[in-house]
Amino acid sequence: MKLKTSDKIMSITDAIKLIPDGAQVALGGWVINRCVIALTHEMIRQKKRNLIVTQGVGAMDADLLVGAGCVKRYIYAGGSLEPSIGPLSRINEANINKEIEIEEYSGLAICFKYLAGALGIPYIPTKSLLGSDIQNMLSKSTNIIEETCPFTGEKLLLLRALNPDFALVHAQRVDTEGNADISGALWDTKEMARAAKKVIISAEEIVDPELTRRTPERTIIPGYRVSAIVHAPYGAHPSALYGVYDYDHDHLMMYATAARKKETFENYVNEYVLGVKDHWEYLKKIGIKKLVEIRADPLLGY
Amino acid sequence: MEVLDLKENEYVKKYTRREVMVVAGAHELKNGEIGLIGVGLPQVSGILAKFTHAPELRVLLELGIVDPKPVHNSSGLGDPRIWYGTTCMTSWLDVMGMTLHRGIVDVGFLGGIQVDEYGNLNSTLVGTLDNPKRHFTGSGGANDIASLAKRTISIMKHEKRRFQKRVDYITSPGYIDGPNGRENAGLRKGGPAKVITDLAVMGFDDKTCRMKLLSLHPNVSLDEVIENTGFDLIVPKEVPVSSPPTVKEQKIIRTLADATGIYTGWKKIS
Repeated sequence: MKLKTSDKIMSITDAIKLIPDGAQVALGGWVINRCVIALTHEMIRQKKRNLIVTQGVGAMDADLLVGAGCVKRYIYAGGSLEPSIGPLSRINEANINKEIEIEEYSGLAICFKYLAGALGIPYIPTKSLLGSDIQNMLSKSTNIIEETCPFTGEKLLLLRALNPDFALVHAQRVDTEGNADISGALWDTKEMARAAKKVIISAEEIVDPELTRRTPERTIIPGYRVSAIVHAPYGAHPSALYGVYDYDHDHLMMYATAARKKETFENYVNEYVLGVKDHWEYLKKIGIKKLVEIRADPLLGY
Repeated sequence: MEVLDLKENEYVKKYTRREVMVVAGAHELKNGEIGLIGVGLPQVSGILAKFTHAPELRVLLELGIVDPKPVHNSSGLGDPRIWYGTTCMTSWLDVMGMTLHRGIVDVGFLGGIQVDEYGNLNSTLVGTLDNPKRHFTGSGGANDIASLAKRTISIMKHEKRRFQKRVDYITSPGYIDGPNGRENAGLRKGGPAKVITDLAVMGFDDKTCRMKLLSLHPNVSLDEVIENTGFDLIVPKEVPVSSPPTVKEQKIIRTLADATGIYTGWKKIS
């Protein structure tokens, strides 16, 4: 069956062209899972600059962007490539050397900030973060304020809403209207997408909306919130995509080693991002054998 | 009918110190509790508890997983191996917001790079706030868990540089600066209950909120613990010995909870 045409469906190149330098961009990855790698690679190829990147728990997609010099400010809750694989070396180094501005929260605080943004309210109170050095460091800016609850008199921390210009999400499936079918743990994907002004979805496959109507419970982001749809099979590689493919352990280990030093990171980017024309060439470089090897067992989901 | 194997409850003779840690951690998790379990050794303890004395322990993982029954070792929470068998795949807002922030999580279980005498945990940086030398993982969900769970257990290697009088950075609050520290900061009750290391199990004094020794692991001397602690630990007159793994516990660690040995290092000794 031929798919309906939709002006939302575009090439990765055109979707990323929508993002201007200096935009606030929310990334959908979580450590080594559902990272928006295909979209990130294209942002690096298009040499985006001065992005304000937001993310719950820091992941490989953000480490690539920071390392490639695309990021001016990173708003996140700490992160890694999983302790047993490695740290987010590019982010940690940029943080220590003050090469980029860092706003560091807890995971729940970022989720609440997205939630406030999604609800259209300017701030949200929390009982988390109180008494920590996370609060101390953030108190130097106007992004958090300690306040007394007008009803109960208890101490609260007010977190300012986040409304990113763009949210980038990789999905197992999207239909031509933009309804995104995402399975597995969701972390803050729902709130992040609803807080954003525009959502760009990359997906393993693009299907007819009639298929969505058969399993509507699987739609995590409704199409009317989505501005651009991109077809990117293995678009999260080398991170995992639940039920579709496992993380590529060898590649992640190789990346973790390369990312430890600026020079070796640059070699990695030159080889796997700038050295390939597009996502298809990247997949060719990874190779059919590896891509088949990491296909998920449908019983296990990995 | 299942034949009761009495040997299952006997202690094993060969084990690693990290297996003792994992067992001590599992023993802190009670049947029927709701537990928010962090990445690494806490994960292994959670699975061990679930498959031994606490089948109705509800393990929550911060990214939106409820009560998993994994069958393979995972490299962390983002590895779907640890999501396997879950009863509910949901979101951060559900687990960390509507459950943890709601105040109904009984126990949080965390790792860290530093802990101090009041049980404050650091997983963010070494150095000073203005002049950090190295940045680590940061909070993820750790701050939220330590702030909002009814009690917190932490687990880490026992070294002087990790056991400091004051941590370099409070990522996850313990009793902050002592009695009433949490209250003054605006936090709810709760706070650290136990600190488990490769040498010992510690708790906290009810009045002073300072860390106190509860048990020494087998073949560990009191001097070894004191030498590796960068502050004055409260030492009771009599200190019992922590339990080594039982046959059943070790079997579950080595075949299920840490089958590859990446967390407990058991493959290196056997």
